[in-house]
Amino acid sequence: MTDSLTHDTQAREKSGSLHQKLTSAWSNRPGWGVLSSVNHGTVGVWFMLTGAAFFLVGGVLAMLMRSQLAIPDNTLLDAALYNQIFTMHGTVMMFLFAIPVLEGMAIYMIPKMVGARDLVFPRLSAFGYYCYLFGGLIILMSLFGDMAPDTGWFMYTPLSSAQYSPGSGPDFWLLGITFVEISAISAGVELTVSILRSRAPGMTLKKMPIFCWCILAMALMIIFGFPPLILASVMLELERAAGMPFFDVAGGGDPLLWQHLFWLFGHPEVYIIFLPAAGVVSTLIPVFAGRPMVGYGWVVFSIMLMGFVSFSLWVHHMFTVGIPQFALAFFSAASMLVAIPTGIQIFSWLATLWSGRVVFALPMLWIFGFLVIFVCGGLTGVMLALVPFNWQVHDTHFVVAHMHYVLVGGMFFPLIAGLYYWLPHFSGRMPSDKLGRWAFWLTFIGFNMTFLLMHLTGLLGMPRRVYSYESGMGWDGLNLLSSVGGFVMAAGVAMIIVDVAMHFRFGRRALPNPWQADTLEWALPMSPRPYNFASIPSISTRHPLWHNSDLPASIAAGDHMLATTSHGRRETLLTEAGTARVQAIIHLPSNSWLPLLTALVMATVCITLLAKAYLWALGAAVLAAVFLLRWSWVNGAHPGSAPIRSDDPVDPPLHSRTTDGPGLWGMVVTLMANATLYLSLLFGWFYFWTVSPQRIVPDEVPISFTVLFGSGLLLLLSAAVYQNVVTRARAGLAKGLQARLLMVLTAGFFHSVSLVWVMLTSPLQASDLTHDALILFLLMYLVFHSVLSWVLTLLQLFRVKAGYVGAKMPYELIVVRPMWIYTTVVFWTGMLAFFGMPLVWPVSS
Amino acid sequence: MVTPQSRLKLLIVVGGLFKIHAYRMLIDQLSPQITRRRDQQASDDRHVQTPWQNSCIWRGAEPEQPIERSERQQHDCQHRMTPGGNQTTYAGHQQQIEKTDAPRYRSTNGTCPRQPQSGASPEIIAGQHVGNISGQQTEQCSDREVDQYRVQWVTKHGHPTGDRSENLVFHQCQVFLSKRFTSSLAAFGRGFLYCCQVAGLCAVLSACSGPLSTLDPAGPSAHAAATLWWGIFGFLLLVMVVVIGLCVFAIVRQPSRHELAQARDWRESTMTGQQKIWVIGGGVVLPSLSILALLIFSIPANNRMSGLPDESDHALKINVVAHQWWWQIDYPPESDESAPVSVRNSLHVPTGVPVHLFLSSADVIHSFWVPRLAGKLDVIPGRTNELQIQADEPGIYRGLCAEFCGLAHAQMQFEVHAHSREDFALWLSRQRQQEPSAQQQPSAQQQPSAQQEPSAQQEPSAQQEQPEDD
Repeated sequence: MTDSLTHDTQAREKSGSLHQKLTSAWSNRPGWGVLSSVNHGTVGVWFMLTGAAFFLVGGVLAMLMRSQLAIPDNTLLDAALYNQIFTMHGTVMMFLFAIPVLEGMAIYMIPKMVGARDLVFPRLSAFGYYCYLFGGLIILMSLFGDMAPDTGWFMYTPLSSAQYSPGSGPDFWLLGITFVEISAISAGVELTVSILRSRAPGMTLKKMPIFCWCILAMALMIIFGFPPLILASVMLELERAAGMPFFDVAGGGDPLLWQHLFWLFGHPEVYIIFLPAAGVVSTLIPVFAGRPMVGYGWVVFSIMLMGFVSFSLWVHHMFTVGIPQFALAFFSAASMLVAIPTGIQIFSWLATLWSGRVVFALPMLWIFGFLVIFVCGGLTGVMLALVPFNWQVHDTHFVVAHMHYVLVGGMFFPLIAGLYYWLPHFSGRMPSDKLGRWAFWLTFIGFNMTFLLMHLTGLLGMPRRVYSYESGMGWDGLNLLSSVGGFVMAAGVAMIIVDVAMHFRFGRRALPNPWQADTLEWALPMSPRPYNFASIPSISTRHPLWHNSDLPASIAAGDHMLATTSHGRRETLLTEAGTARVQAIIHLPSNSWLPLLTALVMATVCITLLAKAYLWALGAAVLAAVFLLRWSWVNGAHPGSAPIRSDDPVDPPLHSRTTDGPGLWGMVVTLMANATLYLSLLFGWFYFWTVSPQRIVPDEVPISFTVLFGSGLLLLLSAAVYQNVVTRARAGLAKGLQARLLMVLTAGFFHSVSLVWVMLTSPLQASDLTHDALILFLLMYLVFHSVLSWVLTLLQLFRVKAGYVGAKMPYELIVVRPMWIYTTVVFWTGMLAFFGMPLVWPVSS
Repeated sequence: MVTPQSRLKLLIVVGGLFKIHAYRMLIDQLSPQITRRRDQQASDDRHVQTPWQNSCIWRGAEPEQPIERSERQQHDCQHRMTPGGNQTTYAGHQQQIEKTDAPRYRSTNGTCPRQPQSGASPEIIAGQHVGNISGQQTEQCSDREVDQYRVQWVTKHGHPTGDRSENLVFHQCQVFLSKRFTSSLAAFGRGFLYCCQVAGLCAVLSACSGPLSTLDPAGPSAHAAATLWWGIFGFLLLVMVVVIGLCVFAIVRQPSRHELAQARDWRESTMTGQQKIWVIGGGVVLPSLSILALLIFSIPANNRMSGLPDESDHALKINVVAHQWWWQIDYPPESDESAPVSVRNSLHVPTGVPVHLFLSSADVIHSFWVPRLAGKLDVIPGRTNELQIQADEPGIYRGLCAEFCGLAHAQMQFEVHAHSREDFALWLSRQRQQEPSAQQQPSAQQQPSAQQEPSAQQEPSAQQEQPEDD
């Protein structure tokens, strides 16, 4: 008896000191220093709060629109203002609310769910957040200056071209959104690598919660879905600012190319928004039904299938542009096929509900609302996939209604369900049930009142994006009811906010794991500490908490892995992607100002470009590069990161002492995004040759092919020598490392210089011909990559000299290797595609 | 074609659907007592300490009021036994239906759809175009008389296509239906969630018509689309009701202890036979069959609507050029000696024959749409898209630009004037005789001024160059 008491006290003391040490390593800086935080918990909350703020902005814009449309011939807003408002509503809701708030949720939840202490690139999380914040503010700024974009959130050119939109509205959109997309891509890379490489030992892919599968699918879709829009935005901005006619008929381009690139992004985006929400549903339903998900394998399969298929549907946004019949038939059928993975998920949810006794708590109420609305939205989606019907209702309020059913039903309702579900986890308190139920019913009724009727308004012929309409069309009553419903919904949203705000003060203390959930995040104290897990447990089941209810106590007591804190580093485990066997310990960077500074300088680039102060923009871009290089300097054995110590762990070792790590995976995933951008460029080029109706092909391409060929050979040489550097470093041969790196740099230097020379001296008519503009764009792309590879290699040389990298620590050299391979591949495939195409394709217009 | 009979059949199906699902799952489901009861059961069954029994955060603090299962079943039975439903709502419905026979078609003959307003706002531009149209109408007195006759007829009888007897049949059908329908409606109305859907359906019944309504078709393409709509609407409504019904049932259902014990064995990775039926039957078979059925069902509409212009010389070919923010309609010369005709914002076509439109844009992307005649087709710079439209009966059909095209997009409307073939020939020949030199004004010359400076000052000069017509 006494023995066990003593033992308990000792254990408590031990865990108390463990917590103290972990807290000192993991806590944010006090005061303003909090802005240098990189911890995923902090950054995730920032993301979600900022997203909520933008949601309110978007909501106010929606209310303005509904007020304007409440009665016919209303004069509350004029056309110019209304056009800005609907454009901004779409932009804010899609880019500044839906995606970031889900990213925030993923950033906050994923490490807690997979049993990690943080994401694998903490500084990247903070950088992504600041990019998002500044990009969003830049876009929002335009609204207050009365120069907001006013050409619709999909920016169809030529309406958004310099000729028809001479103001700076589209510039705000193109630059601001690209900036926000950098944030999305960084979140995508980070989440992919974190989910694949930092799961708790034993959590094989088969034992991963479905939420993590959904976030993995979302992250991969961001990786492959956003680059086409980034490319298109850069091209359109170049067309507007520098007159390169990528989409201009006068130069031989085609405005439809913009639509293809936009929807190549735009359709996957819908699933990027839906999949995390589906993940929330798949997390909550088993908990409230009290039984595991039926058909786990089927659901995972359907999530992945959905992500995959969503990339082949983009044309269904373009059924009315006049494309050939067989293409219509293909995309129509493909669009309807999405109903199958969706159906599998819905029926798996239903089967889970069926086989358990459902606890109808507040989050479950929102899930029920989701099911009703989403099924309805999905079915109108099937209707819209039928081409003949689409021809009638495309661009009418029917589509507006469908889209809101899918997005609000498919994303907002699960999001609020998740909010109510995880709120006790975050705050340790329970929100008010009464207020919550009122909020649900107001939102649900208001939503259906607004948008169900809108289907009919659309069938009665009301087009979208009209600022006013005349009486006598049969739309008056419907519009009035829709507006009333909109305000009812707004009242519901206000009530959610009141509820959440009040619960921090008045909510009752929640008991641990109040919903009796099965996933790992509920093993943490409520509210969680910045390091999440005092020790990282081994997982042997899909439902760790149902399986072992003592897990929270043993985690807190430090009974599992990584309970050593003497080194003062932030650490988490690196595990194998599939089997989740422990491979190494990832040492993570601590608080840093670099993400904020870099994002600030990049915002300056954005603003100076808007002000057309190009020299300043160039200067700021160089400064941003300097900050980024400094960022990668504080890595590995650098004193600010993980200097070599006598007590360095050996089994498992630190990741920077191995040949594999999150950085390598991050590099590869980033290059996958980059390759998508490059493939989109090739798509644009082939589109120009095969589809553009009025293409103009000059008689000859005024480029020195000899120089280009020689330049390519030099690039091959660089890449080959670099490969040799890596092979020798892997083998532990320190001799000649620096000399070889110098050789890479020399060859790479001459390659880059000759490429720049070709780009600058060739008399391309880039401001007159789409053909030449595309070639110039390719050359710029190649130059960028050559220079980037060169700079990264130079950095490695300096790091070898400084002793942070070497034959004993070849990790970073290995990280840079894919960059050289990629640069070589894009150079030669680019040559083949751009200069081989005219040889095989008949030149005629 | 949606005949009244086919609509009737469809609505019977729809009405029946509502009745099938008119029992009180939802009410049960939403009743707090039962929810609580289930909470308790669930927590009992889990054999674990349930925190909510102590903290009661979302349960509320009222005492338990268990409702017996038999009581609930009684409710269900009661409900099934009243197929006639609540007859009192009938009167209201009839009133609503009668309202639909009130004039639906304003006499749009010659009046401008949007009156100009003062100030240099973009509204003026469109307003003035149309204003000029009406100013020139003295030249087409005979046409106007024809149109006027049609329009008045329509106004009087309320149904543009059918004869009076057919109209009566339709009305009776509606009355009959409303009986059936209100019965199910009343039963269902207590299920709160469906209120909105039902309201929507009522509105569909009473308000399908309208000058821009796709549900009030007046040409073969629009008919095909409307038929397709009613078909897929009925079918997918059925699917929706079934899925949501299953969802409610799945939530409300109380699995036996044995089942629960089986289901809670979470180490079990294989699905039971019943679960396979759910996931594979509902998730794979149901959507696949539905998709197949819908695709097959849409083939006739697809063929009808995408009938591309044949290259025969007989078909009437008209060029349509979209500008920010007006439509230029060009009738190419029939032979070398005849003059081309160019009109603004009004498209004159003969009835009963397909007309081939060649759509091109002078500036940005627009979309040509006459909802009552055919689906929309985008008008894209650098391309010429071909659309076939046909009006069955003489009359005026309104059209608009459906793709957002800038400031005055909302006012970029036009009218399709369908004449009988003789009247159309007369109209066209009269147009060709009018000042051929002025009509040959190429549109391209006028376009830059219109697109770069869409101000009110530029427009009048552009209009002087361009003869107006209606």
